[in-house]
Amino acid sequence: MVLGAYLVATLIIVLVFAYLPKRLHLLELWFNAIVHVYFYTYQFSVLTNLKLVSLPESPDKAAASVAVRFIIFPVIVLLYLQLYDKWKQRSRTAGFAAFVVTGALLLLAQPLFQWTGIIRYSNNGIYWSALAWIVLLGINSGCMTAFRRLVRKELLLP
Amino acid sequence: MNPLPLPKRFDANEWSIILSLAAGYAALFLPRRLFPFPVSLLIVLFGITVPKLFDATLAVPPFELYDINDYPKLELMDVALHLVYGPFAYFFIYGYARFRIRGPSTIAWIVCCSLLGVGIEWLGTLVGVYTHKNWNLLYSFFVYGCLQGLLLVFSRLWLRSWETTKKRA
Repeated sequence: MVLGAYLVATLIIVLVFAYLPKRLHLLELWFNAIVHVYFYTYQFSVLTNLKLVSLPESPDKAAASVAVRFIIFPVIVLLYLQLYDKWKQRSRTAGFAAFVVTGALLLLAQPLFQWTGIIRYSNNGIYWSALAWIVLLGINSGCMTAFRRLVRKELLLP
Repeated sequence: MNPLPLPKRFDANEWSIILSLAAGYAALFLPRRLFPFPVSLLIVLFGITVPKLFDATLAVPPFELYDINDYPKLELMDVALHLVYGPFAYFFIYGYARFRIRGPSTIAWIVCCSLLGVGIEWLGTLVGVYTHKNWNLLYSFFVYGCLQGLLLVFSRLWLRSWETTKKRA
């Protein structure tokens, strides 16, 4: 039941992402997705070592957890980066607003993961995880800017 | 509760990881550059991230198919170990482009590189880098093969995308 619901959610979010117009270049999309997964897996492992989060014991919930952590989260981050890129061009405040909105969305999603049992948080785990997400969104935004600079430099663009 | 534990004892597995890391990244700068830097970066990052993704899925509960290094959980040397895979991914694509491998030879190239990967993993099990629980080298061979096939497809996509962008710029 839980696995089915999350797989449907995964499919929907992937389809939404596939059909939305893209602001980022294909290489940027790949780079940002890979960077996100790299840092996210370490963030999750460190939080697990600190016993702030843990994975479910049942294989179907573990599979749902894999779908959420390695498909839904990267897609959300890519959507955030596109929004951040668009809003940042209007003003820095607008860019920061995209950061806050995505951070809040991920924070609000955590009780749902706890309730459905796909990620288990300890008492303070939910707050530490939220803090880790904010750091992660910052890292992703910084890496996106750095990679874009690198691509422009290689293409000899101003 | 240590976020990133240090090794229990600094012995063969730690030394083999450090030597592989130094040799791998030094070797990256030796051959003639074949790909644009952003694409090379993507290939290396793919090589680093995918093994971490597998370890974060298969080496943890409820599956726990294998352990890496001294602890069943993430430790400092695991971070170094994941970095070792980056040059391997790069040289897999580099060799494919350098030797102009096309058609059915691609399968042979993937099989050879997968066998090399399995051989290195076997050496890793001897020195204690990997401890297989419900895993064996045959599974590794198929996983390496599939991932190398995927990397080949992705790297061609990235290179094509780069060429298109370069023409437009």
